Amino acid sequence: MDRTVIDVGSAISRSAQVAQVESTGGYFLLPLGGDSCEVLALLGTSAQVWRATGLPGITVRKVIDAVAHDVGIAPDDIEEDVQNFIAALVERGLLTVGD
Amino acid sequence: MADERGLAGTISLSRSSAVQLATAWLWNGVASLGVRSLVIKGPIADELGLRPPRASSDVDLLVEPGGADEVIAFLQGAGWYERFAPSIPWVMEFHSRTFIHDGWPIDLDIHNHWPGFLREKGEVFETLWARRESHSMAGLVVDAPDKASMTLILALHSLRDPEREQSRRELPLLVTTTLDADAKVVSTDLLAVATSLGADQTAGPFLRSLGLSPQHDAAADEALLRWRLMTGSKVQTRAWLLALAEAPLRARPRLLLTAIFPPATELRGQHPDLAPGALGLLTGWTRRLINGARDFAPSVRDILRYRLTRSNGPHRD
Repeated sequence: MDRTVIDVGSAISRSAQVAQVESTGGYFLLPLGGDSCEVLALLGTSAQVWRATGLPGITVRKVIDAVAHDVGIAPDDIEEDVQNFIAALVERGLLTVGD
Repeated sequence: MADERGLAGTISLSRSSAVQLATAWLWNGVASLGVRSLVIKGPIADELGLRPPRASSDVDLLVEPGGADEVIAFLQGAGWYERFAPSIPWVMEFHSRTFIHDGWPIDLDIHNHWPGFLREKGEVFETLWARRESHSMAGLVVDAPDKASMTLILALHSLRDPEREQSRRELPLLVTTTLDADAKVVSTDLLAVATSLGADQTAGPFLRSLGLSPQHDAAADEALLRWRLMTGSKVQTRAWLLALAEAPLRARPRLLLTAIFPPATELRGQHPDLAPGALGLLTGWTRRLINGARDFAPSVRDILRYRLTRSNGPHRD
């Protein structure tokens, strides 16, 4: 399924409809409001992306830069992956786009 | 889910994390149904300093009277199903149902009231609700009883089964932490809250350990007698004997037979450790007979005393 590409200039924020617990090396997320109680575990780079989304006024660009800085590679090398991952989190209702 | 495949490897969901997530999920889901609820015990009791922090194995939610059926339907819709519940008589009304999920390492306990709070259920919930406090849980805000109410909830949990090892360990600890933590709560709040919830007598041993002097609550006499009968019981003997005493004559033989020799599914549900086959059943029934016989005389004595007191009016402490 083609995923909507989220512009790197877009502001993103964590949904209020998600429970989260930080664990050693990652996060557990549980979307609220649905009839499912399936937990999503984020590790490694995906956890770093999630961590960055907690900053106020964050944009996709800033998430890419923060993660690239953390892992020590060029932002261009991870831009597409991070964009796709953020789009997946938006689809699951874990992130919202816009102020 | 206890061993969850993440987006970049494998990560284990600890019970502690599961309890936090499930608490937030459950409380939020129940609130979305328009049903009021309060998170009791668990990590919030730890946070209030009422017990040493420990990993809970379940989430306890007290639901407003009349709301439990809707909550249970919500849980079932999300894949939770009820853990085996023994089909036995209860001295006091059954107060909770336990739910499990194949993907979760913890239980969810849905309480429709809290044993030991002897005022009318609606009145109890409104009192607890009016005093509620907010707590952060897995990034969400949930409601829980205030410190004094939570203290009483923990005390009654221990006093309900005072001979249990966990109770013998936790109740003195609760006395110590209550005295150490907040003298103001002890001196002014706790007794007043206990009285307003109908727990001044049921929590009496705890309150007296704090140096408080609860007065007798005449409104709770019948319920109080049943509480005392229940808390003196280690096994089911008292509940069965009371059910026999209160059953019509014609129903008693069948009830007696079920009490002594419950059906195999019931026996195995209550004692999942029994070996498979006929030998396991024989062992279970034999154990049951021995335990029942051991508790028979004191149970008869207590039930006679209960029925006599109920006829003549309760004695005063």
